[in-house]
Amino acid sequence: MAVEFLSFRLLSPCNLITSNILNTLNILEVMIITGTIYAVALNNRDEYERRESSFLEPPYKSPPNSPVLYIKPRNCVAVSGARVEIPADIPSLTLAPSLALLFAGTPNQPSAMALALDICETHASVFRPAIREQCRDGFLPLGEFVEWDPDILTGVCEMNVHGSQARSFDFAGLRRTPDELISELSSYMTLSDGDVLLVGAMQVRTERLDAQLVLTAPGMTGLKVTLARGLAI
Amino acid sequence: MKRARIYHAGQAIWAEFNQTEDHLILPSGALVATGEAQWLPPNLPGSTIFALGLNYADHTRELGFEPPSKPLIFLKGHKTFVGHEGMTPYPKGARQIHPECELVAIIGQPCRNVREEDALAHVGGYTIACDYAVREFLENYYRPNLRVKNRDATTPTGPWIVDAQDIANPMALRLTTRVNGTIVQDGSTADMVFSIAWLIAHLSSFMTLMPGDMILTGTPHGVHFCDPGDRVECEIENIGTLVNTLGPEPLAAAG
Repeated sequence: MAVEFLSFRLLSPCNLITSNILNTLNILEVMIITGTIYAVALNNRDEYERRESSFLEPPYKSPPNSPVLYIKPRNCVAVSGARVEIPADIPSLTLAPSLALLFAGTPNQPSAMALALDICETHASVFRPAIREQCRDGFLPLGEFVEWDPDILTGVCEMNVHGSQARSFDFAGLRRTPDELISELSSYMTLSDGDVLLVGAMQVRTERLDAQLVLTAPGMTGLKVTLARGLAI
Repeated sequence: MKRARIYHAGQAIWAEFNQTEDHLILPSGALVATGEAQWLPPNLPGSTIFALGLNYADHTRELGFEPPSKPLIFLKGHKTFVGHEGMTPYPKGARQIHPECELVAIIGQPCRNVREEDALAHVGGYTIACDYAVREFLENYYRPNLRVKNRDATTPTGPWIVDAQDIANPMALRLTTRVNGTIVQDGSTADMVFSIAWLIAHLSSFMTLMPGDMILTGTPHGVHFCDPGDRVECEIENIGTLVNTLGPEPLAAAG
């Protein structure tokens, strides 16, 4: 029921096969997010601890105080089943399976959730915004939104890459829980009216740029993504 | 032609100026006097908001950096916008908030792999933004970080959009900022490091730009820290003057 409401109010799936631009992504369905999509970097405890000593060195000089945020713009959004073209000038990808929280009702309270695959070109530095690395067309496939259920945070999700062993991931290793993130962010920015927050889970670096992936989580529809090596632009 | 987004009879609505520019024409044909309009930021929900740091050489040196060899581009969300004659909350726990007058280019047509020489034809219009920064909240992670650049109602934008065809040369416009009537920034878009056309070509070389996407093109020198209650006016030649008031000293309990 929540899905229908959201479909009507926020997600408006519509057929855009006449659009040449979206055709290049081979997307037959598009998801419209009316708000802004925020993502959190360095929110995985293992990854953070691995990098922690470097945060005392230039250009960082001191560890981050606030959650490290970035934005995924609308051209990144793709739906389950999307074929995401990986431009040939990209040598390595970092795939971050994650949970997308949608804020569509009371401000700063999630009302729906979806599986998400945050794709970016691998980049070592987090000093300057990484627009070119994070914001390619199709670099954020989102699954179907279902009603928010905090129990998801204690469940185990899986990322299956066709031909490889499945990798499980969960949300127990987050440095800041979704509640803690929302609490800190809402001290200066309101999450509402269709905003989305990707909470981060794990990051997998891969040089395998042609692959079929499926993300699954208890009680949620799987998110299927095909990475397809494209031509150099 | 100028277009504005206003709050009228309980909803956000786009309107055009009449020829004498003393009234706004609503889609119904009804008129609203410009003096009575409640201005909303002229943005389209969901659109991508790019902003430039260090894009004027003089401002870059003022901040102690060398002019960059590649553009410093960051993204902003939509709740950071506030309309003309609006109020920006004064940040709690900071005194170093400074206005940044910026020319905003608004994309008018889908762009992918656009050549620099063709890029300006993809601009639909121009407006003004005051991209406030709060220096105490700067951190060296995806700098400038969102706690500095994405605070609610901390990017006044507007008052309206001027159609691109009415701006003969966007790269030769005077920008000024006045705080309580005193000029604190006075520059020209001619001094941008990366031009609007170059930026559109660059962005569209790796991502698709869509109508309504905005590029806030950076600010000239003149860092002036503001106090609660200051009246801040950002003016760009041939576009208009964007007025904003900083809120009062924050209450102890506020964020």
